[in-house]
Amino acid sequence: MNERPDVDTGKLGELYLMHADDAVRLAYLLTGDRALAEDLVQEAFVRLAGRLVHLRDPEAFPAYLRRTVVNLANSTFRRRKVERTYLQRARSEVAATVTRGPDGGVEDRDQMWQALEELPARQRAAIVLRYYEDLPEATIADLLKCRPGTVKSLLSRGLEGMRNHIRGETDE
Amino acid sequence: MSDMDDRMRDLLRRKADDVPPHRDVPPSMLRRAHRRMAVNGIAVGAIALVLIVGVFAGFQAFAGSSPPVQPVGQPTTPAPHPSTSTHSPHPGTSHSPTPGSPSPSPSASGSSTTPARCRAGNLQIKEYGSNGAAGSIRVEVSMRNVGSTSCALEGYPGMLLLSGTTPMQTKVVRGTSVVVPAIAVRLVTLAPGRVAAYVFGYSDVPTGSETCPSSTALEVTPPNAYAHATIPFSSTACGGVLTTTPVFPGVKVPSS
Repeated sequence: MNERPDVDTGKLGELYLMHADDAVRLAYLLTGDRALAEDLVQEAFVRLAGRLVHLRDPEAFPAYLRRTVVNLANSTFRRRKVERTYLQRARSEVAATVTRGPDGGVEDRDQMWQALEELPARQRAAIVLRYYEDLPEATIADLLKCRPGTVKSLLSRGLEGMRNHIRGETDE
Repeated sequence: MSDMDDRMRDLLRRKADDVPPHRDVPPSMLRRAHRRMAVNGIAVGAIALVLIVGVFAGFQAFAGSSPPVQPVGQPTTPAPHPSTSTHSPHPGTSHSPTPGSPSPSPSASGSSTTPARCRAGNLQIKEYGSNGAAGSIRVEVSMRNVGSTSCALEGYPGMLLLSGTTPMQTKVVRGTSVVVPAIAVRLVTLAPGRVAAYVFGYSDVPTGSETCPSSTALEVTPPNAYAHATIPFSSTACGGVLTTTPVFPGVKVPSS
C-alpha cells in the first residue's frame, strides 16, 4: 500500500501543499460545493502530474492550475447541467420559503451568495475570476475561451442578474 | 455599481475563507498521479518508438529507392563474412595498397544498369558522427557523390591510420562488435548528391601488451577503388584494429 517516495509525486505533494488552498477556494466559488471543489482540485493536480513539464516550472504552475480548475469546473457544469437545473429549482423553492421570514433574518451576504449560485456557469465564472482572483479581462477571456468583449457582457449580465435576484427576493 | 463591486469582493473573500487550509496531501491523489505518470511515460515511449520507426522506414525507403533491383550481371557475390585486410606501414605509400572490398570481378558483361564505381575523387568523404561507450568507440563515415553522374559502391571500405603523414599499423576487420552492427553487403547506387555511409569501431582500452597509438588522420578508400581520401581523425585505436561494416545507403545506420 505504501507508495514509493517517487521524485515526481514528492514534488507534486509539495506543490499541493503550496497551492491547494487557493485552488480549492477558487473551485468552491466556481461551483458552490465544497466536496466537489476538493474533488476538482485533486483531479486538476492529477492531470497536471500527467504533464510533467508543468511540474518543472514552479513559476508557471499556479496559472496552469487555475486554468485546469476553471476548465474542470466548466466541464462539470456541462455534464451536470440537467441535474443542476433541477437542484436549483428545488433550492430556490426552499430559499423562497426561508426568506419569507418577516424579521429579515437572512443575511445580505447569503442572499448574494445564493444569487451568485443561480447565475449561469460562465457568468458566475467571470464574476469570480474578476472579483476574487482580480484578473484582468483579457486573462479571463483567455480562460473562458471567449473575446474580452464577451467577458464585459458576462460580468454586467451577471451582476444585473444578481441584483434582480436580490431585489426580487426582498420585494416579495 | 462600485458598491456592488465592493460587496461582491467582500462576499467572495468571506466565502473563500470557509475553506479550511490543506495541511496534508491526500494519498489517493498521489496514487492516481503516480499511475497517470506511469501511463503517460509508456504512452510517450510508444509514440517516440512509432515516430522513430516511421522516420527510419521512410528514410530507408527514400535512400534505398534507387538501386534495389540487381540485374543478372551481378557476379558471384562478395564474401559477406568477416575477413581481414592489413595495411602494412610503408612510409611513403601515398595510395592505400588494398582496395577495400571483395572485388566483385566485373566481367564487364551486360549489366548496363549498374553505373561505374564511385572513385574517391567523386566522393566527399567525411566523419559525420562518433560516440563511445565503455572503451568502444564508434565512428560513422559518409560518402557523398559530388560527381555529375551516378556511381556505385559495394562492399567494405579500406582504411589506413596516419600519424601526420606517416602510416600506422592498421588492421581492418570486416565484422561486428558491440558498437558495430551486422550489415549485409549490398550494391549502393549513388545518384549525384546522394550519400552512403559506413560505420566502424575500435577499442581504446588495450588488451594484453597491445598499444594504442595516436592517429591524426585516416585514409579512406571506397570499396573497389584504388585512390583514397584523407580525413582528419584523432584516435587511439588499440592494435590499430578497426572493425567495419560495408557501405550502406543513406547515413542512417541500419539496425542489425
